[in-house]
Amino acid sequence: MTGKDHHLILKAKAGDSGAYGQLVRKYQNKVLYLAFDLCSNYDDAKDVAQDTFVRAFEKIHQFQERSQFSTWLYRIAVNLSMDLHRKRQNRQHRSLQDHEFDIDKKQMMTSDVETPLTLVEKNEQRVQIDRALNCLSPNQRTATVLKYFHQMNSREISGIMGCSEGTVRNHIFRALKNLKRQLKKPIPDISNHT
Amino acid sequence: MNRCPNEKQLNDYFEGSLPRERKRAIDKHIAGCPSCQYLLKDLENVDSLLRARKRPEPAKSLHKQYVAQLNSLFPVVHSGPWKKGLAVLSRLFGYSPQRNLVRFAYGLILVLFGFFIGRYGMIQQRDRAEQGKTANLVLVSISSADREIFQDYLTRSEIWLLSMGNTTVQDRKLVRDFSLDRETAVYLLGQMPFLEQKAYTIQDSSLIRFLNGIEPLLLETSNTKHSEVGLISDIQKIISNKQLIDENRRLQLRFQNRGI
Repeated sequence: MTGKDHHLILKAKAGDSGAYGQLVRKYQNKVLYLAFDLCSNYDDAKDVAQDTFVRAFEKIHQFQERSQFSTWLYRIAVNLSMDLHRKRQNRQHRSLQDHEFDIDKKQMMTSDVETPLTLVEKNEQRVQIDRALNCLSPNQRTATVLKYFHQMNSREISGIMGCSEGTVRNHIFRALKNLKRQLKKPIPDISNHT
Repeated sequence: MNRCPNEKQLNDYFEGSLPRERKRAIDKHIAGCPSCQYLLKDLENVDSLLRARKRPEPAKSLHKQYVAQLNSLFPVVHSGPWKKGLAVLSRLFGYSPQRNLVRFAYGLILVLFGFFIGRYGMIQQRDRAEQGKTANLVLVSISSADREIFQDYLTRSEIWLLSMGNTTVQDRKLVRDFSLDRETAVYLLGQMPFLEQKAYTIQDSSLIRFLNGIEPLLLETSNTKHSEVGLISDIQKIISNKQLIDENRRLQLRFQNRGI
């Protein structure tokens, strides 16, 4: 944990909401992106991220600083995402992936770095992957997202998920096998595009 | 190793966390097992796909809304002396560091304020420094008809250019016909580069004090108001007492109120 974080956390614990505001500014994007990776759409991600900061503020006096503040925040975000996922399992909801796909297409039109064809292929891959991720169990999905999209190692993931490193590795391995099954279309060789 | 590795072994192999001996044994098995080769190839492909996955950026409106909501929930209260000062400004004048335009306007106002205060201070300081000095000639405004007479002074004297600070616009219009404007006077002074040239701005209220500190040879007060006749008398008295002006040069003392 950085010294500045520690300083701000101490102040926040003492009731300084301004110091907590600075922590929010620092982590607001990271938490939003994590929530997106877990929820697959930014509307839900926004709600989860906001709830994360509200929950963290309410519980900050319980934060013992045995881990990074970001790890603690991520843990809250993961738990809230899982809660949302469980609620959503009970009712069918309209996926906003297609909406996101539309946004991506607009972005593609303005991109001058990659050809539209490459982008469409990559975007289709992403949508495929996100759909496949939705079919994983919450634990497998969380471990995979943290490893591949947030570049965390097994130790950090185990800190967030509250399980052993071996369990994390197991979640990831099984997730890969499940993803392989879910990706029904032949998996393209991405080395052609990179 | 004849049997296919179990899930844990394969997982550790895939993660690269197996001991060297164990890894060598599994390598040997995989080399002769198409099923394991196929499985690992698929896992590697999925692994590559996941690593290459690029997260789409959130729509700008959504991100803006998200940040605004967080800002309203958890506003940043500044800490530290100068940041606390900003917070006080914020409470008093609605100053918001988040609003760039407002911040810029406040900055501009502060800079302009500082500039004018500094300039005024410099002028005051310069006036104080100048007041103690003496001069041979006080040149306020010179009628073009008198230019030849003054030419003699101009070539011999240190010149002070005095403009009356309280002259109204209307007064200036009245004296314009028979006075040199400032630019002309400065130009005239510029023709004699060997002279020490000084420009001085003074208020009538401090004219007496000013004149007490100098040796005026010529004073043009045609733009002085009637209400200041008393002051003009004082000036005349000062000049007379000092006997700095030759009798024939006294003619050059011109007053707006010629009866005095």
